[in-house]
Amino acid sequence: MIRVDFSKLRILIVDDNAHMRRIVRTLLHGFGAREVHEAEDGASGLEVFTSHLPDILIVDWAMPIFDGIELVSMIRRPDSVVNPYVPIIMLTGHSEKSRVMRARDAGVTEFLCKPISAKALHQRVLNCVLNPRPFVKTKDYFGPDRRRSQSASYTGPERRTNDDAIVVDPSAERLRESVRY
Amino acid sequence: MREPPVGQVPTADPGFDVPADVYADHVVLRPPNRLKARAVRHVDPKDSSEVDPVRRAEHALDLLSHEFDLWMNAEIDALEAARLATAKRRDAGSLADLYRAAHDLRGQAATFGFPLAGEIADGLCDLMDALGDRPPPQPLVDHHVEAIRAIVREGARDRDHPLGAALAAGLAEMRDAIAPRIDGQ
Repeated sequence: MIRVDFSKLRILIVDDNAHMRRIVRTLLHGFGAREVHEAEDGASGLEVFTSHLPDILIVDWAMPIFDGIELVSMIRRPDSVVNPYVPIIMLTGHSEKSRVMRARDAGVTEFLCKPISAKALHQRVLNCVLNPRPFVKTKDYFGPDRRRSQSASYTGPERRTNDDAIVVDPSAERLRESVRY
Repeated sequence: MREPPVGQVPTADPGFDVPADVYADHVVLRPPNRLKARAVRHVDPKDSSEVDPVRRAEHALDLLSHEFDLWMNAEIDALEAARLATAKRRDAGSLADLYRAAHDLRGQAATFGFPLAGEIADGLCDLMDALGDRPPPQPLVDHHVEAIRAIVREGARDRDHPLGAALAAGLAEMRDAIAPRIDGQ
């Protein structure tokens, strides 16, 4: 049996509500986490993110200055010198499908609706650690693969016009050639 | 990417080296799973000293719960202050404060032991979402805030509490009654 050792994880909570930060911190400490940082809005969240390089972010949606979606967009920049692949869990009272889709399209890794439960939060963190999805970069998206599984019966919007392994990057092409000969 | 030990202040490092599959219109990147390598440990299922982390966290939350009544009242006070502000001036700033206060309650009231209060706050948020930039009728806002306060005052912690359930159902009917007017603009 495997367990995730939370004492090895550095976690950042970004939420403008002090009560919610305290609840999430309590749950994380209960899981065994020791290093938990907090920020009360998107701007200070970005500052703590760049200064402390957390392994996982837990972010509220509705916050002053800039909100959770804007924070995610700022982190998910493929050319960022700070880890743009960091797992981000969106913890929010918004549960409408349109909101979930918007969070997903901003590059959120996991979505968790309030009211929070220990089991649900634990499961989301485990997903981030044990089952991370590859990242996809297109002209208008950078984030975790929005298709959680490879299904032949995929019925969602077809954003990838070409899924064949046509390598257009010259360096990758050279790599293929070198393997061939 | 350099990963300093937990407990030390790290520094950013631009040295990313991520394997990539390059396609015509997208790139698939596979960052190495360093979290798994660092944080996963194997345990013996027969080891009785291993406590379920979820149960441990639930216990920690139970210990914290003696604060919840105080916190619930503080959240209601914030909603009350926002309600009074919107009664005086129905501008975008005061409406945003009202929405945020209701939104906080819809996310937390159930954790604090008042799920029906959370449902009523949720209904108020949904109403404001449906109205967009238009302010909700002030009497309806007042009814929502007063109902939430009444639920807490009466200690209506169960979803089937007669008073609480009646208040929540009555407010849902009031919101439904103005829904056609919202749809018709």
